[in-house]
Amino acid sequence: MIAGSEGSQRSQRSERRLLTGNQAAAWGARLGGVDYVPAFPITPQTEIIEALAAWFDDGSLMGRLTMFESEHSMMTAAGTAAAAGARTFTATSSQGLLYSLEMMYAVAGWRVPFVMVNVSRGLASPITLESDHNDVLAARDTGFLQIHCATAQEVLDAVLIAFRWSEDRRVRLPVIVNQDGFSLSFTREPVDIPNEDAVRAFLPTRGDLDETLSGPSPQSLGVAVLDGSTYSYFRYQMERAAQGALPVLLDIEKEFESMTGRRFLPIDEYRMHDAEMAIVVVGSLGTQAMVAVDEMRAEGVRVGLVRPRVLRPFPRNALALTLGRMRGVAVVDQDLSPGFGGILHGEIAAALYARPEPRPSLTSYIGGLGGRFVSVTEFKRIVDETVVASITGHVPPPRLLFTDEEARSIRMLQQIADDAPQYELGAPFASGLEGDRA
Amino acid sequence: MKCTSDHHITTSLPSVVTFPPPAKFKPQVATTNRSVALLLDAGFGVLRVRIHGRGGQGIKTSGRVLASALFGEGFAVQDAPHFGAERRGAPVVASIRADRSFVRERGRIEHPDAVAWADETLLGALRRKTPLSTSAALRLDPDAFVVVVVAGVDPVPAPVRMKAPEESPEHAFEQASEQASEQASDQTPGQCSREALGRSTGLLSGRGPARTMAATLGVDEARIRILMLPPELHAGIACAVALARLCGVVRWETLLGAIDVELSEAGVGEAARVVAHRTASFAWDALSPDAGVLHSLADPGPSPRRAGIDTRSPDLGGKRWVSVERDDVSVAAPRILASRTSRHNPTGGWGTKHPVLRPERCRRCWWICTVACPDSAISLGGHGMPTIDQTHCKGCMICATQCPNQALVAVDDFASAEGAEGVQGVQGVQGVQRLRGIEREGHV
Ligand code: SF4
Ligand code: SF4
Repeated sequence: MIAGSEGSQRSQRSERRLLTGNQAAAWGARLGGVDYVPAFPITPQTEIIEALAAWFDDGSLMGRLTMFESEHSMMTAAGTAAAAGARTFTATSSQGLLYSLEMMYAVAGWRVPFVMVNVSRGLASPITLESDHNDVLAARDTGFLQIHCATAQEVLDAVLIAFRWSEDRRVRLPVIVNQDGFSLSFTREPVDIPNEDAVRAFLPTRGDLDETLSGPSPQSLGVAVLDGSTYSYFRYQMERAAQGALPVLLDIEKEFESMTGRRFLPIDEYRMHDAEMAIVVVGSLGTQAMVAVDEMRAEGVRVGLVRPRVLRPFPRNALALTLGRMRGVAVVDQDLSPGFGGILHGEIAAALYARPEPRPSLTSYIGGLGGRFVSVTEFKRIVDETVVASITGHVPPPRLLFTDEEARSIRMLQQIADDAPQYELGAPFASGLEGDRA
Repeated sequence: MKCTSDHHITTSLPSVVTFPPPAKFKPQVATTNRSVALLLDAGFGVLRVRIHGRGGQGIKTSGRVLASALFGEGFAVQDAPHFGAERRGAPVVASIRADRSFVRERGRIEHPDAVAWADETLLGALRRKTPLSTSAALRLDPDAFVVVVVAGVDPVPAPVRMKAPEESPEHAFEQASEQASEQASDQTPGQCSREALGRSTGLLSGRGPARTMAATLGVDEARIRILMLPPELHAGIACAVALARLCGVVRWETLLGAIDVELSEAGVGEAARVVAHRTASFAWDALSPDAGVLHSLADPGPSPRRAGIDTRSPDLGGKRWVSVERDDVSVAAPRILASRTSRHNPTGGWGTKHPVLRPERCRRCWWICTVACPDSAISLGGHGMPTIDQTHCKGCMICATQCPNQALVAVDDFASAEGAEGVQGVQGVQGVQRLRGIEREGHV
């Protein structure tokens, strides 16, 4: 909760500052009036809990931040605090999220509301610090709802919206707000920090809960049921709550827009009004794709961008409606399920399958793993290939984005390590643009 | 570059002047006749600059200073520091983009308008067998502007300037050296700055330093400025100020305000603030002949480079996609069986301390320090005593805390040699020289 009188002295206007994505997340929690923050540090997330710790320390926030010995305990504490009625916020990343995964399933099953920011970072092995989405997508079946952000502003907005969404009685599930490591977490951008009083009207304190746990009146959460029917009932209830969360978000989004002037729809469409081709991408690569869309539009290509902000619940109908009328759709996954391919690509294909034929030609690209960026030119080439696929009807196999320069670089690294003497520089990477080996 | 935002309003000069707010926009201090309006009308659009340095040099803070200054002048900025190894001494780069509407492009700046190096030893990577991802990334467009800060130069000559391409760089360097020796009459004439540069970069090789840098970086040597900084000033801040000066849209007071805000956020004290202000004044004056040069580049009209990040071409702007095929698993698994990569990466300069053996105390236990060293920098010599590989020791001092006989002692690289009295082999060891010596010797 926010300390006393300060809020009322502030003007009603928002304040524009340069904030990193991490600071924006911390501001979201601060404005949200968070009561409790269970924490465990991990790069590139630590700046969030550092900022919150400083505010608890200097009295800007009244409440408590507790360091745990692991993310597993941190997640348990978040779930129990939320069950006890505290507005709870936590943050993690990558290996930390995986370590807490067991408890993520458990606390989502408790149907308790809290917000966790995940700062996406590639998973070991090999170890890296930079962004990709395999971490947060590993949590896609937990029952947590998922919001994916493209800017620092969206991170702040998403945290506020997520508290409302999570605490709504029609939903009552924890929410992950995802932002990309480095490209958002450590990058400063202009962010409008909404006025505290306005936020309080949008997001009142969590004092009205009736099922508060307390010492004198113990209750059990997540009990054993030991039969399939009872188990199924509770799991089906989670599915109904999650699926029903989309219309709830639309209600909240309207109020949010009247407070800030900013929309927060489940999918962000950019220059899609007369588009024939669409790029689908999640997260901060989205703004990079916008630059490519603008440049291609200037060249007369009718291309747009569809960026799902919400991946759980999956906005299947809205996506099918928008993408179903395209001639070609290119999905750029910043994730990889070995033996399957792009996770988002699979989900988009499932959404499109509900549409009657003819369906768009659907191409798949893997890029952005471990922070390997997708350039504007690559986005344009991706659209070019998808245009060809939509004309010929021949959809190329999924492409793992990699350039000849990267190929030479990896071979040089291997030769320095004396580990690949059998390969020449560049070999056996197949050159050319014709797609993977048939 | 053309502004690609939906919110872009094509404007004539008077209406642009209202953005940034008129009250704040008095360009006469920094820019004389140049203004944001000119910058934008010239099709300049996004400004892209990088600051390179090492962990511990305040590069992130310096990037923040530049970003805050541009933000203070009404630009939307994107300020993206990048620090892979998160360790003191490891290379760090801050990328700053500025535009009048929200900056959407992300990732590494491949075609910067200007680059500043806070540490000339980083340029050593240019001479090494380095993976292309590193060496290619150092190459710049021919019309990029380069500032190299050589810190710790005492006394300081005038900045080494290559005024015009036809002017011999040797000549310019001689001039600078002469100035330096005039300022320091008690030193060997002409030696001071030449030594400082030669010792630190190894880039002289008998020719003008700017010419050598120009060749390795791929830029026009007339666009290189070597800024020699007195020892007490801050190289990172000098980079931020130099770039602010080059883009010509930041006023002096805005810059000082940005320095104060960022230094106080970084929690540094008054003394550091004074150093930063003195650095700012020094760099501001040194670069004043070049103020606004970045938009004068755009004056004749947007170059093809600035018309797009990459011009649209089937070959991805000089690169091609390749198909990643299956390698043998002996190659395809990310394993390290030998530290051969380390030969090409002298990380020994990353620390602030290093261990020194007191042989009379070593009991030749053979294993405690050797096993404890996380960098495998300790091996056993023939006499059963440890030998420390100073080109790879990172100075963590785990060995010194593990040795039961206190046979390994920590020596502060930045302390004077007297501080290490009685310890063998440390005379004259000083952090900066150590790093530079390692950089110079470490490779082909
Ligand atoms: S641990 Fe100490 S005693 Fe043992 S070999 Fe190392 S320096 Fe000598
Ligand atoms: S200080 Fe000692 S333990 Fe640490 S890297 Fe150097 S030799 Fe190894």
